[in-house]
Amino acid sequence: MSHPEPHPEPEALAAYHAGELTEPEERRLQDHLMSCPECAALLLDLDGLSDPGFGAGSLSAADQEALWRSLRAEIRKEEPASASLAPVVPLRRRTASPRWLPALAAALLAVTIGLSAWVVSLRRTVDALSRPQPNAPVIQLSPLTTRGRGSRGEVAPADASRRLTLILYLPGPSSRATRYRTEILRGDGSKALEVPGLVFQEDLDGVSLELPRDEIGPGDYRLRLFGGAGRGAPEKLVAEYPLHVAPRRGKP
Amino acid sequence: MPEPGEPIQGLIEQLQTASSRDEAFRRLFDLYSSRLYHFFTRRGFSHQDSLDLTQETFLGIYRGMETYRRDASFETWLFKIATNAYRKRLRRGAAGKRDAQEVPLEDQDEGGPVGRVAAADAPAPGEEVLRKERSRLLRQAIDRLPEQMRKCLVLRIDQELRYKEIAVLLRLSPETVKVHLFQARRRLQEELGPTSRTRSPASPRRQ
Repeated sequence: MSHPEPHPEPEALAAYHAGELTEPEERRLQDHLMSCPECAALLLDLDGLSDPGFGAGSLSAADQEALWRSLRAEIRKEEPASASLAPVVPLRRRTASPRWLPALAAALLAVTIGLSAWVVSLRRTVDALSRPQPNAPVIQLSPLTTRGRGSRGEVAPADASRRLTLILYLPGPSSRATRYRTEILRGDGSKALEVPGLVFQEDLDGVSLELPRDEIGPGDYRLRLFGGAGRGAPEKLVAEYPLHVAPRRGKP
Repeated sequence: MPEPGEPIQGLIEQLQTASSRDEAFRRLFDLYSSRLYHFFTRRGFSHQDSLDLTQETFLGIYRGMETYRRDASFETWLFKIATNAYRKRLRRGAAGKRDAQEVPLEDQDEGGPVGRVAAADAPAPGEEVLRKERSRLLRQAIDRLPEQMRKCLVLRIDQELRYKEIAVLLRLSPETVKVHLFQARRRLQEELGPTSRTRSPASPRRQ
C-alpha cells in the first residue's frame, strides 16, 4: 500500500512495542498506525512472532527440510574454509549446466588422481606404523600449573620403538571441548609438529596422540593443547605440557 | 520438533560460543522457520518468495549472531531482520515495476473509457451528496472524541481489527479497548441521533 508518510523503521516499531519510546514519539507512531494498515499489521506480527502457534502448519515438513538444506548450502558458500555445516543440495535446481562445468570436472579429475597417489603413499606409511612393536612407550604428561610447575614427561634412551604414544592428562571436571589440537614446540619456541583433530577420551582422562619417533629428536619440548568446537571455530589454549626426549643409545 | 518454551537464550549462547553451533542453529530454525514463513505470506508474498525471504532472514541471523545482545528479545531482533529483508525486496520490486510499466496518458483523461464506466455506475447525484454529508458529520463527531477512545474506534472501523489486536497496537488491555469502544458508540449515538451507526451513518445530525 502506498502511504504519504514514510513508514517508521522496524527499530522504531520494536521500540514502541517494548514501551521504550517517549510520550511524543509514542503518540506520533500511534497516529501513523491509525492510517497505515501495513505498519499496524507488522506490529501485530511482531507480537505474533513470540507465539509458537503463529504460522503453525503453514510450512510443510518437506518445504521446511528443503529450506534447511538450501540454507546450509548458502552458509557453506560463504564459509568454505570453516565448512560449518554439512553439504547439501540447493533449494532451486538449475535447469541448464553452466559453461564452466567441463573445466571444473577436469580439475576435479586431476585433483582426484593426485589425491589417490597421496592416499597410496599415506597407506604405506600407516602400514609401516601399524606393524606390531613390542614395548611401544606410552607416556602420560601432566599439565603445567599456572606457576609453570608440572612433572616433565621423559622419553628414555631405551624407548627405541618407531612410535611414541603420549597421553595429555586433563584434570576434570572442566567443560570439555569437542575438538583439540596440539602444537609441539622445540626448546627455542619453534614449532616441530602440529597434531589436529584430537578428542577427549573418558577412559584416559585426557587426549592421546601418536607420533612417529623419528620426528621427535632429542631435546626439550613444550606441548600446547588447544580446545574448541572444531571446523574453524575459535579455540583457546587449554593446557601446556613439558616433554624431554633423551638421545637414543648408539645415536648421537 | 522443538519443545514449547525451550529457552532461546541457551540456543543463542551455544551459537555465539561456537559450542554445538550447528545443532543450536538447527533448533532455532525449527522454532522459527514456520513463523517467519507465515510472516512473509501475510505480507502478500508468494510461496517461493516467502521461502526465499525466510532463508534470507536466517542468513541474517547467522551472519549477525555475534552482534546480538542477549539481554534483548530474540523475536524483536528477528522482526527487524525480517522486516528489513521484505522492505528491501519491495523496493527492488517497485524499482523493477517502474522500469517495466508504461502508463498510457489517455487513461488519465477523465473523458476516456475509465471515466465513462465510472460515471455509469455512480449513484444519483442527490444520494451521493447525502452520503458524503453523513460521512463528514460522523468523521467530525469521531474527531471530537477523547484521543484513546477515538483511536480505538478508528482502528475498529477503518482497519476492522479485533479488540485484542487494537489492544496490542495501542498498548492497552483488551478490557480497556472494550470500554472505550462502548463509550465511543454511546457518545456518537447521543450526538448524531439514535439511528446512527458507526459502520454506516444513517441519519443527519439532530438540530
